[in-house]
Amino acid sequence: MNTQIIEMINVSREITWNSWAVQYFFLIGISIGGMLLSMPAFVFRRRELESMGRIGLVVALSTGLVAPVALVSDLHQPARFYQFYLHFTPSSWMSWGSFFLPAYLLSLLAYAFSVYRAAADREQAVIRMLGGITLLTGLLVALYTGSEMGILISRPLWNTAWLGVLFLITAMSGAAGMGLLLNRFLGNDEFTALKLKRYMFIYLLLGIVLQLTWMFAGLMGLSQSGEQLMRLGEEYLPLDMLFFGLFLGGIVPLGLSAGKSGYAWLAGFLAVFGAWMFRWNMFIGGQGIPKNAAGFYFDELTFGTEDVLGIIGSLGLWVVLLLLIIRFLPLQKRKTQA
Amino acid sequence: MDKSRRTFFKGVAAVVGTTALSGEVKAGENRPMGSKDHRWAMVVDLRKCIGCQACTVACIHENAVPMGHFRTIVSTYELKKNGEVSSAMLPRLCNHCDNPPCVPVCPVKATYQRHDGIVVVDNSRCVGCSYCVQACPYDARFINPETQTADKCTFCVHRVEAGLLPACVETCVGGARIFGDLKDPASHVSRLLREAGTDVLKQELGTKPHVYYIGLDGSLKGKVEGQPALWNRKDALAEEQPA
Repeated sequence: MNTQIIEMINVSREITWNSWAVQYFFLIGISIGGMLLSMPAFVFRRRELESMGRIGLVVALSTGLVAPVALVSDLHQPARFYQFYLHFTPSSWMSWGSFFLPAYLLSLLAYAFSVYRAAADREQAVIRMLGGITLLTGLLVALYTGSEMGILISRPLWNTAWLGVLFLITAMSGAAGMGLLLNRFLGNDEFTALKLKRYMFIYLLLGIVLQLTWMFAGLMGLSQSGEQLMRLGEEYLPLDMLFFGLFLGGIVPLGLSAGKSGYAWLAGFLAVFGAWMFRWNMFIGGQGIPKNAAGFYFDELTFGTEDVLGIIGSLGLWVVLLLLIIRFLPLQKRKTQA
Repeated sequence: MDKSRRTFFKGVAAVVGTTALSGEVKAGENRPMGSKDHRWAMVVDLRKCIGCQACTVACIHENAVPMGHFRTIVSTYELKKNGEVSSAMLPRLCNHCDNPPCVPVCPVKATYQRHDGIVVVDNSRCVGCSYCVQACPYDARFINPETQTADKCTFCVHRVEAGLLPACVETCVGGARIFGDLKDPASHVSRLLREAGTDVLKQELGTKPHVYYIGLDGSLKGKVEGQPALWNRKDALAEEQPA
């Protein structure tokens, strides 16, 4: 039976995971991506990739250390964060995350410390061990962040494994992009730029293909979350989803990193933007799809601490940390030794 | 809302919060509370609901719900079927599910289900992470801007424990909201569940809601697809609160 419905009275619910949550998922994702970039050099002993590995570590450290600030800021009762450690709840991915996150950050700090202080080959075993632990804890963080949203039956868009996989893939392309940007400002090592560009290209391509496949699955009626993704792109947020997210943050940097163009840093910047935009669309766009009501809740970006100031603030903190790391850590070991 | 009224509501919120939730919690920590002899539930007879919002207002006053937020509201629709237009009411509130998706996700066990089925929030422990708000398929939860913690319908647990009906039931003009104990076979709600055809919202999710509806239109059981309401919470608040 064909029924037309006009909603006369209903309540529109506020977005409760706001820009701080986007910032957290963005920063921790980029951190894991950066950490993974360092793995070939320091854990799998590909010496020729050491420069890339060191840049990956800077990316991982600078973003990883800011991420918990954004996370705690997203709590409406931030001073009660200690409750996480008084009442462990195995049924809650967020509760697991409250242990995975510090485990990752501590192991990352120890791993980075071992890399930067390593003077002799005998310390390689320590670096490998700490790197292995960081890899494990980092992947656990990736698992919990994807699952935290993936298990929610209340939001069909999020209730899928596609989301967690795409969080990781876009984190990889974003981290490689950030690495390209840093490489440009830290000496512009051509070999490293080439490697990072290649990594970025692969993950950008993978990310775009996966997003399109997810949408196609929705179009074919094979995936409920894909259907929601289609509606988000087609009906609710075409500009944010298709232009800013997929085109400007995906296809353009993919094109720029495909050939021998000299705009690798620009491609890197756009890949970082694409990784952020994907999270923005999933979080803010996802919460805009009402659970029960008709229509869509359009979020107005305000200047307050929950929106623009939150984004600027956490990025500002990242810049400060980045400057401190660049200033005090021996980033280019070979060059300083030479 | 003038300042003195706001202060009064804050006071009421503090008293209600303390007696209903944190007071009980601190008394024993042997949660969940409530008696296993009861399973509270609500039946809403939509044939009797006239959409007057008396329940909405009663709930706000009883529970000091901040302006612009609702623990219950009567969603109102115009339906056009085969050329015939009719109006439909749908009072929404926490469904106090048997399998509540909001409870297992809470990372600090601040929200839990009592033995009598009522799902409550210990707002002295809640960290305001909003995970439960996200997890509820019925949009029954929100972050209370005054306590900065998760807030929701409690079936007026403080009244029920005192032998009273929830405020929304007490005030319902047409007697559309019926509250009672499903473990008592002679209760009104038990009889209605046996004798009248009832439906629940989003049954396919397996949450086992304990708010039942009589006369629920099929097109309203899940996410409603249609023309959205013009009323927007943010705009309305901006109009009501002078800068």
